[in-house]
Amino acid sequence: MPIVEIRDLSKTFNGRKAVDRLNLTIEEGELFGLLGPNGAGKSTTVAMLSTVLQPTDGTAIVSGHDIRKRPKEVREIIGVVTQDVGLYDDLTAAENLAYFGKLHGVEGGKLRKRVNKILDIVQLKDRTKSRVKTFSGGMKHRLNLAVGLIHKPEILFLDEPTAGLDPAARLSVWELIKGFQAEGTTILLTTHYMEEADYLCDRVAIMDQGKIVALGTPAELKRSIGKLEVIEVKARAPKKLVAKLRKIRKVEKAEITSEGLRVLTPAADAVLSQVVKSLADEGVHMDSLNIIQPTLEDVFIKLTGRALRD
Amino acid sequence: MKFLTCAAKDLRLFTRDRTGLFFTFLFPFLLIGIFGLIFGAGYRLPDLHVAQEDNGQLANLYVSTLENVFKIHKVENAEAAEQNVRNGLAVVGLVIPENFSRGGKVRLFYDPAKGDIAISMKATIESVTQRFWAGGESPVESQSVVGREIHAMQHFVPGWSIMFILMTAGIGIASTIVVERKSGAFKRNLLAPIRRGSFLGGHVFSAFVIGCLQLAVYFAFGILVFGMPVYGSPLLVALIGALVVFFGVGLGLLVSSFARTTDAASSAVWAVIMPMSALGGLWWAKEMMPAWMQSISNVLPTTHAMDSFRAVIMRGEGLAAIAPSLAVLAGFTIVVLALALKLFRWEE
Ligand SMILES: Nc1ncnc2c1ncn2[C@@H]1O[C@H](COP(=O)(O)OP(=O)(O)OP(=O)(O)O)[C@@H](O)[C@H]1O
Ligand SMILES: [Mg+2]
Repeated sequence: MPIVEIRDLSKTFNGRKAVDRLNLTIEEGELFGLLGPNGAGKSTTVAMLSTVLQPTDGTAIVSGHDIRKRPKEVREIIGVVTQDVGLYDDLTAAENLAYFGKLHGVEGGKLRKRVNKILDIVQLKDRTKSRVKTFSGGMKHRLNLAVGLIHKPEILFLDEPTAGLDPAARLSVWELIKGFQAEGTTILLTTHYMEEADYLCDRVAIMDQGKIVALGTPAELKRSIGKLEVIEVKARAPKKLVAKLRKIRKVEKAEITSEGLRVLTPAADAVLSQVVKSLADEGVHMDSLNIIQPTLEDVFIKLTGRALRD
Repeated sequence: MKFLTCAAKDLRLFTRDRTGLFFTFLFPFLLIGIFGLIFGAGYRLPDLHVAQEDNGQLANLYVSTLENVFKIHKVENAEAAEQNVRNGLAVVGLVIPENFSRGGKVRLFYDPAKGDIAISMKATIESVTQRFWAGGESPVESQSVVGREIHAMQHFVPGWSIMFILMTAGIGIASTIVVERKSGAFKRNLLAPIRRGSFLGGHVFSAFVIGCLQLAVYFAFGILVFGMPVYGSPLLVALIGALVVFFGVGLGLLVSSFARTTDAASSAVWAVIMPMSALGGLWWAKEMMPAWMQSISNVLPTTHAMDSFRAVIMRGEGLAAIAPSLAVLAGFTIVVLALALKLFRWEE
């Protein structure tokens, strides 16, 4: 049964379409991912779903409530963790949780229990009474997640929950998110890390320029681009190299990513030597080179001709 | 009642800000105290108010003898001498009767409530007069009068109260909202199932509580430490104070819509309150200012707040007398609040 139904949802900022006639359904208990590059419209979508931004057109039904007609009812059942931390630095961890809990109508003994439990889950039990300004970035981040869950929401919106975290912290947040899902919470997560979408999500919608360009389970999406292999090069590659690589026969796509270079090809063995030669000709120093199976990043490159992060 | 939750959060944050607490409560004491010690203690010997009804040589000689000891302020007649003691303008009033040269007794009005000064002035006058007549029976007929006290604190306490309450309310509410916007807490409040009114109501209410606390503390300080008398109704004092707080709150809300940093917020509030305080006669009596300045002064809300306070505190006036000033103050408050609500930024 769908718990979120997005119908033709659109948002225009000064004539530019940030979200363009979006249609989606999210099933109850699902962990759904919106994957897309900077500016794809992920945050705008989440802001509209959480009723803090008025859609230009279209609407969404969240657990039976129309976001335009019943915003307060929607806010009662959702939990939202926005891209930036939203905490009071001069309140303690427990006070922050208690405050936002009360705003959601959780009171008294129930609130105390919930605060304790949630601090335990996010491993901040020993810092219950410390002010947030004494916290490290990672701790603030975990507390920020906890605030979104204080009232046991039916649906949790997580906007880039691991942006800016180091790999270890990212892993621990991933485990937390899996834990939230195990509690029965439906989760909509936005990210521009394809590993994150791949690892966490039951289904992923790939979003670009306000539109959904592909939708399915991570496995389905990866299969959808056909029998391709990826030559992944870790190096600082100049832009003009890409044009050169694209001219090689049997190279389908070549893109510069945040880590280096990805070359999509149906026959890696056949093109490898030419790729390496092109790199050498340009005097590029390689840190590593691997031939791997396609990831969601490659799905994005295949569909849009651009990398997720540029 | 979600606004109470919001307000309780603001008050808790307020108590955590040590610098804020210092400037809200201790710093004003310091200023009121310094000004009180300079102007309010009254160790300077007050003028002797004299009504001279006999202009004979002997009487003139008597007055010049007194002039060796006192600074003399001549008044019209006997009534004026007594009246000035009654309404607190003088500590001692002296009447030199028409028949002074023929041995008529000098009449002296003094206000024993003024303490040592009145008593010692009375004693000095008695002994000077006795020596002037070279003995004989007591030539002075003294009469104690219950005079109203005019106290320097009756100016400084309301003056500094208005200024600091406006500052605290304005800067407090503006910078809290600026910090909330910056930290993302603002967005998070709006994500909760509360009305926008509750969020703003919380801010207004917490600022109101702090403002009332300031008013109570400053007045208690003036009354208990400096013995400032309040002749009018404390309820009226509270009413004027409440209007002042709301004006400050409105100003703070307005500033919060423009200011991007807490520094900008407090500078903006300072820039408005400081000139308003100077021109509004909060630091000195507005009567001391040149006429053209007074005409500017008369349109400022601070002036009307100060006039109302002085009327109630010094002269014991009632609601009817201060109603026009209160109306002006309330008008300013409503306009500023309405403007602030209209311009308030809910989205980035
Ligand atoms: N308040 C706003 N006013 C004007 N334009 C906006 C506003 N918010 C977002 N946009 C624009 O809408 C588009 C989508 O932005 P959005 O923040 O939704 O992207 P995103 O997918 O969340 O990106 P990121 O990964 O950087 O967070 C961008 O082009 C952005 O510049
Ligand atoms: Mg975003």
